[in-house]
Amino acid sequence: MTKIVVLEDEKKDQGLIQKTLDPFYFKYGESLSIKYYNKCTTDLIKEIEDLSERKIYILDICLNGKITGVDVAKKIREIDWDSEIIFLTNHTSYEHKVYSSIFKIFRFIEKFDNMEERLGECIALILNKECDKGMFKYKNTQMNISIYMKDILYILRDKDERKLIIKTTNNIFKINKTLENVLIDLDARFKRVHRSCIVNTERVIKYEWAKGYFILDNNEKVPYLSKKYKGEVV
Amino acid sequence: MIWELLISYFVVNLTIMVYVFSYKRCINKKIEIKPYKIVVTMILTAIVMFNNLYNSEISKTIICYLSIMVACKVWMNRPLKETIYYSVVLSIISLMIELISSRIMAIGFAGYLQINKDFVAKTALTIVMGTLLYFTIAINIIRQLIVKLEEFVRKNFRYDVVFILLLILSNIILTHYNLNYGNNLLYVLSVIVVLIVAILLYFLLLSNFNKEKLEIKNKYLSESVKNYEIIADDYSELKHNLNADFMAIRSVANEKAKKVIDEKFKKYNKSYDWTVHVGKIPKGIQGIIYIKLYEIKNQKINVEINSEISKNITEKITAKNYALLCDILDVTLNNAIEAAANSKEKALYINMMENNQNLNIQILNTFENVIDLEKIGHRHYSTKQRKSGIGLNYINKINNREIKIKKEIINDVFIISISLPIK
Repeated sequence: MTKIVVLEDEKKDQGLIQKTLDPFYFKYGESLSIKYYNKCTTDLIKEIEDLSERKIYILDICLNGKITGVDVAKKIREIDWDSEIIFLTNHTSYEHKVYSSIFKIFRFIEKFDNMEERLGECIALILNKECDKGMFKYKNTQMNISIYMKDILYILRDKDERKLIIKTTNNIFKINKTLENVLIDLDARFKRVHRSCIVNTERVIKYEWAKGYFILDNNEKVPYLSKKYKGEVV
Repeated sequence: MIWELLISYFVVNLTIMVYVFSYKRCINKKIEIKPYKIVVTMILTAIVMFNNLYNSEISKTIICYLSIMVACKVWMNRPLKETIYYSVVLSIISLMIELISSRIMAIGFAGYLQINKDFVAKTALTIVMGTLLYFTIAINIIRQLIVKLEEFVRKNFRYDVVFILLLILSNIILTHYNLNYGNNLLYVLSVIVVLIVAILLYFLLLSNFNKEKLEIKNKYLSESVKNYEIIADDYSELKHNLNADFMAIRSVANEKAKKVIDEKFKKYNKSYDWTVHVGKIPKGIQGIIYIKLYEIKNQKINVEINSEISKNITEKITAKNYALLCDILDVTLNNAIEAAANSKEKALYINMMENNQNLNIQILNTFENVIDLEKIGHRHYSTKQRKSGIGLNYINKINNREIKIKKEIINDVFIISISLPIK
């Protein structure tokens, strides 16, 4: 079940959005619901707080009144990092680069630049991809960390430091935990491929069992592949 | 008795004129003799003389000073600041000479009080002092030093400094007259006490002066910021309305017109390789953030600053917490800037909010790094190129009952949340 939440105060633009979303409604039927708001109301806040459904937010940045679409997005990200957010703007998307990076905005769509077509493409993209809500969470006395599982490439055990090294798309994190314990916190896409390595199988493009390495979708070659674990992956 | 009065009158007159001539020698100007100047000097001489005979020690010193100053002003007719400076300096030199000469003369007497009681000794001492003052000024090095110092004082003239100097001088003289000259320790101690009080007073006045100066500067700055904000808001509103109007026209336009409108949109909505959106930063931390903006600009980091805190931040939290907040912001912003600069997306977001109890500041930045989650915040552990490991460790120490600091990583965004109680 997916819900599209639209926040747009201009009637004309709301009409255009409705025109764009109607085909999806007919295509997906009851598994898709669409709700329209023209301002930030308590109902919308309740909607944001309800995390039972997968959501796609379409937010107009400039709204009449004090609260903007950006404020609503911030509110969403206070509790929900899984929903997708699409911003509609009368300005260029360059003006909102920061939000895009910090608040993981799916796309900025300029209203003046083929809005209907681009919005339709975005919605199709989001609906066609599987909902991936999984997050790996870790907490110690210093800080909390949450990483999208889809971003984790592999997890290695560092013998010297006796720590786990979590390699993500952009970063490397070191934590005090065992591979066995981490595997419990991860979902089925993560498999053990070596006694010192767990890999995100969705990110692997090639396994070279004979040569003892696997290649990831970022072309990184990782030499931690053991035939002993072949049965778990294949 | 009459002879004594005449001699006293002559000696006082001589002393006043010694000051005037010493002043003349310092500034190397001619003296014009005019009847009114002579009359004023005679009156001043009489005042000082009768004051010395009948008045208390406190008024003696003050009136003596003022008379010398007036005489210098009348005879030399120079700017008041300069006259004040030279009268003060000459008085200080004269005081030093008096201390030394009276000390030497006191060898033959029981003490300084004895000199004061003996008319001949007192007269002789005054004449010796006057002569010595004039010849001391005649020494080139001393004179040049005084003149150079005068240039400095003229450029940085401060009435409060002059006031303090006068205070020190009058106190030293008063102490000198009132204490038994034989008791050196008491004399030195009292001078030290006077100096300490004077220094404290000086800094008090200085801080008041600086505060006033800062208030004036801040007033102009905040007015400029206010004007800039109004202009920026107007610009933003105008741009928004123009875009909305364009959209309205576009919705009724034909395909050809739509294309033209879209082109115009793209033309007037410029794109930049980095963006800075700075909202209304609350007073009190404007300086820290604006300084960091230079670094942010140099590193081409996309930054957005949003604040919902009204008025001055210093009025909302205690002075102690304010000082700590400045430290925390300095450390966290330095870390955030360096981390964001090394990331692909180069984004930094600062969000400031308040509710009835707390003031909350969040700093979010993108990063690309190797982070040991078990060591972060420990002394000497750093993820930065310029390694020190002191920053986050210091923040950990600040984290107390009043100030809460939470560190969090959500994917590749580092979040520091600072919460302070509102007083």
